[in-house]
Amino acid sequence: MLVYRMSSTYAWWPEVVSPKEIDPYLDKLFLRAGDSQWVHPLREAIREQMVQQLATPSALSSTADKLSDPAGKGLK
Amino acid sequence: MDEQVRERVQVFLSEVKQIPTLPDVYLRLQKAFEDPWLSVEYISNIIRLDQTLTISILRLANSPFFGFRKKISSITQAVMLIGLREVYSLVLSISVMGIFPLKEVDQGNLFPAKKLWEHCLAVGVASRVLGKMIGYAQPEELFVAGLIHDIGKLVEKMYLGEKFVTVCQRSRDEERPFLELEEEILGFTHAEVGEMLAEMWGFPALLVSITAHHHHPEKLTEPKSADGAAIVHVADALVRAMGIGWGGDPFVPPIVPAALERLALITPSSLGSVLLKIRQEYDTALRFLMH
Repeated sequence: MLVYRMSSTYAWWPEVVSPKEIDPYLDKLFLRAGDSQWVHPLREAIREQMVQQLATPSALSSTADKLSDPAGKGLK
Repeated sequence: MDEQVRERVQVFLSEVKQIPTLPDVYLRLQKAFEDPWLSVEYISNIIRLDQTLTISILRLANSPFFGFRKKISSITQAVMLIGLREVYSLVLSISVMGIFPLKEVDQGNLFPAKKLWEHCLAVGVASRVLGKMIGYAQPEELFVAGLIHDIGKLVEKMYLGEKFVTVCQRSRDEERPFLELEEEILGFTHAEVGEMLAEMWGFPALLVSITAHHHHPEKLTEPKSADGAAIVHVADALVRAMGIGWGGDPFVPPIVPAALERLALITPSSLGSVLLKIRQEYDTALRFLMH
């Protein structure tokens, strides 16, 4: 997912490169989300996908990444 | 829309020397749809007047985005298979995407147009996915609604200059939502700019309504618009959570409970599979619509 390679140009968090960075990232992402019945399950679903992607690095280069960043240099 | 806000948006838009116009073929189609005796052949003939549009539609019709097994080789065939309303939606999507540039000279800006388009495309795809899941009658309309929901931001970005930069900078520095800063600094939001622009372009009332209320779907009462706005509202939150593109700030916005009530068929526990479906369809749409 593009989120893991978001540039500091338009986001101010570090790239998520290890599992321990996931929760701080999600805390910030969901900072303004309020407390509707979907917030917790949505956060968990995103967390699960991030953990899975970190466990399988090849999954990081989705089509979107390739197209947005054909040279594979990241978005910085 | 509040009268004072409307005035402020009018002043802003009146200062824009050249509001982008939609291509002639879209305007002809718009006119054609006023005719109750509309035929497939008539619509096909209008589309064929624009070669680039013809190629784009055939390319999309043959893409996994629609998933037809048979190869579609003519516009008439595409219109018959995809449907008249849906083709109209596609033409509208392609036309709107064509008038706002994806590429920018300044690569280091705070709000890259390409990233905004990726966000809009993903919201379009997500709206279509959610619409199909709850049995919405015309999910292609939702695709267009999602695609254009932030059109006001593109216009602000193109024509507001320093004020727009201030909104982006303060949103980043103060870690506050883009929408909140728009209200504070500009006195109007992209939803209101989008609403007026959609009206000026003569978009269908449903699209005007959804564009205007995608942050407050609970304000709509007419069932189809209310459902549509609720879907785009939720799709926006899902796409931001997935980190696709850039909508102005990096926050998942609050989801209005009334919107979730309209999407009751989608349970919170199924969100994981919903996100995967959106991701897959987004990848396909990105390939065929933005490159």
